[in-house]
Amino acid sequence: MKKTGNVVPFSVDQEPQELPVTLTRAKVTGLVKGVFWGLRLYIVVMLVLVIVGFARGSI
Amino acid sequence: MAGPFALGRIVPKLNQGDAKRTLSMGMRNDPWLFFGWGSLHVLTGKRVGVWAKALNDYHGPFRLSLQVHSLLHTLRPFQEVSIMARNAIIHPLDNTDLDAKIRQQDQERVVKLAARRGVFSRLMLALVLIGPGVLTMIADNDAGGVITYAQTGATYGLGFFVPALLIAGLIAYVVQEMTVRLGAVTKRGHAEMIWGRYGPFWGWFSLVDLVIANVLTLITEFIGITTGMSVFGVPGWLSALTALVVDAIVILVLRYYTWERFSLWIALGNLVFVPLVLLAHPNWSAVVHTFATWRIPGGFTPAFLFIVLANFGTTIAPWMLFFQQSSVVDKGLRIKDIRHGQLDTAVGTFAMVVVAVALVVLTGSLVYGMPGASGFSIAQIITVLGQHLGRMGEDLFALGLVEAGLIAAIALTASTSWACGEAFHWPRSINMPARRAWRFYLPGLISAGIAAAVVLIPNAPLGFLNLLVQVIASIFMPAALLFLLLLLNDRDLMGVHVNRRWQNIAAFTIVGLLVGLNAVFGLSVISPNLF
Repeated sequence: MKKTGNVVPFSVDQEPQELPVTLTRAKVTGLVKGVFWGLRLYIVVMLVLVIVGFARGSI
Repeated sequence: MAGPFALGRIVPKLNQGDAKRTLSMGMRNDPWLFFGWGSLHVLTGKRVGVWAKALNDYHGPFRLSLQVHSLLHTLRPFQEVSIMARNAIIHPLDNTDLDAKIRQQDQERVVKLAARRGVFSRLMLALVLIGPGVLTMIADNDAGGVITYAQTGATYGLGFFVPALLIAGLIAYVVQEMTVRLGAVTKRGHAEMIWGRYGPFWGWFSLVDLVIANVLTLITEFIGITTGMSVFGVPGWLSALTALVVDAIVILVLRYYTWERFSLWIALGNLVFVPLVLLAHPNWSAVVHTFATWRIPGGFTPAFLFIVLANFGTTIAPWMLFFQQSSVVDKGLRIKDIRHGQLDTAVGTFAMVVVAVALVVLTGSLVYGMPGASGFSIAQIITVLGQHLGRMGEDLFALGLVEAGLIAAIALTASTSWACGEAFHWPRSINMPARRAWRFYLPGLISAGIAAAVVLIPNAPLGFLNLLVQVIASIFMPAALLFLLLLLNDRDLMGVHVNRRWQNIAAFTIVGLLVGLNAVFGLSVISPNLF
């Protein structure tokens, strides 16, 4: 590119456009599947504790 | 979610050829459209072209995806067709063009600055590119955070929490840096990523949790604003209303770049606590000594654990993950801007830690040791600071509290809007005019309105609501962090920008620590006798 003074002429159009990635459903297998089940268990336990807390008047 | 298309939107004397060509264009990219078009043609014959043209004229070029079974259930035969499509997803390309045009102008500004040589140009480039990270971190020092840090210093003085906040800052940086990479590479927000990659169950779970937590957190922000403004004699209703109006105008009227600059100027006010701590003349050698001793006055008690959990819990909040990633996307950061995004996050983290430590040192020097200091409310703390620092000190602290609440309110409003926009595929950019993207702005503004209204309710259980935020965060945070890590390790999405080994080790350690702390915190709130 031709340089003029301290400015290099540049156009954003010359750069390849970065588009949003195409989102497809992830295949949840193996360890990741275990992580998701662990997360579900954690959420259920926490919700039970919240309900218990409300029932006891702790919250 | 698209509403029903009104009855009778049939425009006579239309060119059905054009309409059908529009549909054909969409069908090549969208199989659902093909299916929907086929069903419509069977049921309505030539009227399909009429409807397509009407939609095209009203909303701009559309790609229309229809749930066929809903369509068949609700379609009327013969002349008039009302298309009521459950789960219809509309992607108005005109709105995307406008958003892309404005963002391109912002990117051209960056490109021109990047092309220039010289220290000043480099500085200007850095200033232009900072934004999401600084805003996220400064907004993390929200009204609730200011109150937490002030009460921490009042209760525990100069000790454990001064060095602990540095660790908290490091944790925040590691987590937030990941959102920069994720947003810059994928060009999609966090809610959108979860929904798209892991399905509607986790999508809805994340969205509902985030919105509820954001509303509750907004309540604490408005509490801070009204408390701070009460120092100047401003009635609560007026300060809440003014803050709400400012929040609404800023997001509705300003385009992303201007909104960001305006918010950064407000965020600058967070630094007011630094001159305050200098005015307090703390024992700096004692402050430095805390890094060696990590002193815990009174020892390791359940109350101490509670404060530790509250401090770490306020350091990383779920909304921060969603906000920064969406902000990176809306700003238009490219992959080559990731380095600047990391710098932006680092600068924000530094400012956040400096302010947090300043607050702890301030109250740790001036309030700690007074009778009943551990139970002081923020209003009492402000009064004590006024006694030591004079009226100016009291006013500056109050202003800082107002600023903290306002900047967080602006960030949370945007966070809610972005998350809803991503989940329901609405046009979702602060660049969008309010008239065109009213669905995008509405959730955020409604959440802010609800929060402002709740604060003004006499005898509202504000302490309980504050506690509820923390409980919800303890449930939601592990999920949000785990999704972040899964996405950052997805080579299909991230390519070469996937997490490196050391980043995974650090991140998983942090996730484990935060999960453990959140779980313990949730347990301690629910069953205080447990510890």
